[in-house]
Amino acid sequence: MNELAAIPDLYGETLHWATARDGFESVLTIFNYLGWAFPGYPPERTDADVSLRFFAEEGRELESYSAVLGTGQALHLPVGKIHRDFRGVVATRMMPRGGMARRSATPQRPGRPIATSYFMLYEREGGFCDFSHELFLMRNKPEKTVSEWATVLFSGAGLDLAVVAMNNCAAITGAEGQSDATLRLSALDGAPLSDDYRFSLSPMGSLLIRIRDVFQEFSDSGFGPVTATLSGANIEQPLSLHLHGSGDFNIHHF
Amino acid sequence: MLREPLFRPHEPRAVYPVFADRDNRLSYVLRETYIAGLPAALRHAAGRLIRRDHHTAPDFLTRIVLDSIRGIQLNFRGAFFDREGRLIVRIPPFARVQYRQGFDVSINVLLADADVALQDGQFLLIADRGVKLDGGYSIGTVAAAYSNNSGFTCYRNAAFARPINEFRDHRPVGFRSIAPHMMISDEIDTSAYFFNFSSDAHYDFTANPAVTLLRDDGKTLEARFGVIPPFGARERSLSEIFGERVRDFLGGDGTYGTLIAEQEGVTIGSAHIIRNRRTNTMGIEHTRPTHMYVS
Repeated sequence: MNELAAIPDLYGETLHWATARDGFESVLTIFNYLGWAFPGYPPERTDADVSLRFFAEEGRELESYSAVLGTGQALHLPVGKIHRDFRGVVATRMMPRGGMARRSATPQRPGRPIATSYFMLYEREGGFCDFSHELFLMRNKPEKTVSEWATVLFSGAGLDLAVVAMNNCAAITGAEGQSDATLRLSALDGAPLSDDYRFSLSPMGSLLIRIRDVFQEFSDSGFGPVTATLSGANIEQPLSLHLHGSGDFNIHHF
Repeated sequence: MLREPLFRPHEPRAVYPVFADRDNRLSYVLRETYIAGLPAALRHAAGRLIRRDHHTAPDFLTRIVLDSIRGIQLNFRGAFFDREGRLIVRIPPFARVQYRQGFDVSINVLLADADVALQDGQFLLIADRGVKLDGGYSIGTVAAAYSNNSGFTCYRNAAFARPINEFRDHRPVGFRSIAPHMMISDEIDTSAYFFNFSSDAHYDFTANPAVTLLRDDGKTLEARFGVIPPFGARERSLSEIFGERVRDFLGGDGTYGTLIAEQEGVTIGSAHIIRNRRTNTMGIEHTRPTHMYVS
């Protein structure tokens, strides 16, 4: 057994976006898999402390939530029951009570952080559901480079489109930790279709950007597939939202 | 078992479900931050040659170096399998993208152009080179989108050139997927969708994962998922796997369960689907074997 001392940062906080507004609920679903990950360890070491941090859209941190999740147990937590009308970023960590390092870790090489493997289950009034695996790790220092994310958005069949941008940089205040970002739309051949939409995010802030609100030329649906490119520093992998006229929806990372 | 390989070892590929009752689309954008410059391409090619990596042919390494000078270009082709794992048709190149370009293609149209009736199955997407210069040669994420008159959903997953169930390279310990978002009600049923794919044309293992449905109070239901032929795939809902007893076990709005599927000796691709029978809508997402990544 690996008896290295506990390395708290090894169990990173991974990010996702949650909304409990406009008829949506977001249920964070997580399972304590650590009994399989660390075979041979007694349950009292693979039992885990799960901690959730909530960041409102302006980046303000709200009251956190924590729970003990026994080995092989699951937690299904409606975010709206913790913070009514919440919309923003959720950071989740699952830390085993035994604080084990990676099985191959050495004191000199503790290895990359271990993710929690949770999903955000989105439910919308009318019986519509979608779900999405966790995104990337929250960062505790600013990025030195600009990240760029791109995906194809679909506009046919009465789909209403949006993009969610999230800052991933906690514990950094001021300009260094914020995001100055741009969103632009292009044709699939790369030809620009819009001016850049520029916006800023506070550390751990987020923004739901409705395409028809910020790009006047895309105020009608049915313009065909377009490429959305979001770039900026300290930007988490963005999400696309497709809202169908029936009430159905899709929320997924770029 | 296939008559011949459908792709070269260095070519990124991924398999996506195709549903007979949906418009099935794939889309992709080649974004700037992936592209390697000449120094990185030269280092990569030299390293592969020195290590005599059998996954990377000399002509591919030459192309990586040339592309770093003239600009990268990816060509996409495909193949369609039915759920029994039979290769129905090979799809010739249908998209070419350069940096900052993308494609959006209807699998329904590709099949129609090939005189193949739309049916449940899987589309194998193949790119003729990867972008990231690492062991997996990823091209980044590809979106699989599904729509009908009632709704729209999509999921995005990366395509890699990693060997899968290619036993001359490695013997997988096994497969385990964990899906903590299972539910069933009068309207909603949740499915598991498993792919039994391989990068070895001679692969012939028939899978039949053991599945356990776990309730939050610790009670469980156990069953076999059902047979998945080599190169095949299968979707089975909770009620199909466990029978109607699952309604009493997990029934009711706001009650969730965790589905754990396990298969020794091979790797299986997995996705899960939440279907609403009344609205004829669905949500789909792949699972990730995070619990395997702690070694």
